[in-house]
Amino acid sequence: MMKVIEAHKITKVYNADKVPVNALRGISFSVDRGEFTAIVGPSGCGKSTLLNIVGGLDNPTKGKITIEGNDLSNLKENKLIDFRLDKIGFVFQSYNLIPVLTARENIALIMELQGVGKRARNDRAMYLLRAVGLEGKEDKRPTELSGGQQQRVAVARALASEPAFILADEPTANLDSVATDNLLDIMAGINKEKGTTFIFSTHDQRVIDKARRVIRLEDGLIVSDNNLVTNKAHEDRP
Amino acid sequence: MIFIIAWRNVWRQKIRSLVIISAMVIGLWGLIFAIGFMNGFMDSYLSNALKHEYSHIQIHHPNFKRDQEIKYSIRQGIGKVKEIGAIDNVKAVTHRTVINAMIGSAKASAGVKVLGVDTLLEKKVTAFDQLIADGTYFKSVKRNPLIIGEKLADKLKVKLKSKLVLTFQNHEGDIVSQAFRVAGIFNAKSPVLNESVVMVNYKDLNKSLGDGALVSEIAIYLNDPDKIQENYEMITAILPEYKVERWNELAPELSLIVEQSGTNIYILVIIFMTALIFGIINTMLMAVLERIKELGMLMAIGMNKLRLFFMITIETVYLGLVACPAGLFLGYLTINYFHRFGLDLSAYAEGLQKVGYEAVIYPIISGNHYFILSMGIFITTIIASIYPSLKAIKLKPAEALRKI
Repeated sequence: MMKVIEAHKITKVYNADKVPVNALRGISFSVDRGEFTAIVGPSGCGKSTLLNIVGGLDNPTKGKITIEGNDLSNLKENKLIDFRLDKIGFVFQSYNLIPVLTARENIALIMELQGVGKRARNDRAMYLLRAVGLEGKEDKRPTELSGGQQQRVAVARALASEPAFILADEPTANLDSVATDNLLDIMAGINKEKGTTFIFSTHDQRVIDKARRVIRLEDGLIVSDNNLVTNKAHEDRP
Repeated sequence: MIFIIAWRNVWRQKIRSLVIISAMVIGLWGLIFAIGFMNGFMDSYLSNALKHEYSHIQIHHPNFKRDQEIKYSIRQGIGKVKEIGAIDNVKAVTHRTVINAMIGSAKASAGVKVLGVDTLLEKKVTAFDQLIADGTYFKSVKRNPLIIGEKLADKLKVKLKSKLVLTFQNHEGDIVSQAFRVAGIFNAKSPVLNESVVMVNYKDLNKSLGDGALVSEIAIYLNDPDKIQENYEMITAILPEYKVERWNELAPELSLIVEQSGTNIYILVIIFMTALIFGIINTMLMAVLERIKELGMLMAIGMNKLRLFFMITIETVYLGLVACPAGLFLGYLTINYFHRFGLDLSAYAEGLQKVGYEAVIYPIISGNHYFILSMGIFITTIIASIYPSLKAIKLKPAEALRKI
């Protein structure tokens, strides 16, 4: 199976010049194409930091991260932005849709940034809205949609650029149980049908229950990595 | 879509955007009015000076300005007046005999400049007949009529029909005296004319000077002042041995005032634009700072810095694009109204007239000024957008996304 993400001895220290806080302590792992992985652990364990580094939003203090064989540390800032545009889809805890754009426009924006023509991006935006069950809501602005609907638009937006994988930071944290189940079913369905790789950070047991691999972090270390598909478990300590 | 986002972002905080747009509209409106008023003021001053004092072009003997002696005259000047009058764009032309003299009344005396004028031609050039405040333009006195400024009349304590004696050098250098009677008292806008110039019929003066055809000065008034260079060259060709001067050479101080007025307008525009820059920066900075998380998200999902910079810049330019036409239109309406009906400053008339201005000002503004102001607003918004845009692109997506 092709490796989408390879993280090698990732260390992240915040405020290195004052009081150092070790957010990640030399963790290594890899993610194969098509995985549906949850990164779990208590608050402050380093989940978001790890996701930021994997998503190219932050740099590790030490270590190397490669996405489809590209070492992110070799990419200059603008190249990294372009890389994120083409290779990574983001779903945020608080949806982060652009309030002045409609659902369709929010999705189409990604494709416009990629240089896709107007007709093609509108067609794909409509296709993705149908895929997340929001047909008929295309002209609604985020404020006119429920939290669950907004998060589904965010998932459709993340899928718009046909990325190598989707990073979802606590995607269900602001959703009720019905919306959570709905969203998880949609993401699991996309993962199954299209083989899209999903990586979540979460506290939510319902998300953990749906995941086929669960990486547990504590104090900046991976304390367990359970892959339910290969039924292989191992502990990883530096 | 960046244009759509930018446009909709402008209206995200309607009140805030409307406040800065209103400030721009009112500022632009005021600026247009101020420029129009300054132009009208200057126009009034310049047209008064040209109409009643300098005309557009004057011709003298090359040495006349230095010595102002009657020997420095224009030969066959009266004939040349007819020739110049036939030139296209010349509205009116007149000749004058100009001497310095002592004027004496029964009660006082003063040094004056005496203009011996062709009364018919003179009024076509300088419209002096319109400035008569008391009496007539050379008509009420049959023999040796004279017109005199109000200030000088007061100084000499004379009134209509009063006798005045002019003493001057004749053609042979002898001192001669000639008596005149006041036919009219004029009130010119120029303090110089009012206090130190008298006008007599050139025939009366030339008789005493001993040369009936004496011409010291030819003054020309044009239909279209913009063609002055063309006319200047034609007149120079007719009288190549004499000094032909345009109004800005005759009155460099007037030219300087006009130029200074232009500079003042630019200074006013710069002050306005600078104030505007800070107002816009304040508004756009607020717009950026309250959207840090959203801007971080845009960078996270793949909007590069150039696009982000461009989006904030476009957003700022939109503020100007909304405000500019409204401000220009209001300014245009105001200027048009006052240009038609005049801005009555009668309350300050005495003071204004003392320095050569009209009591009613007709504001005027050229299309060029509207263009400069539009470009100024555009450039101002671009400049004002730089700092907020830089602030936006310096955001770190991971940090920005953590902002509440």
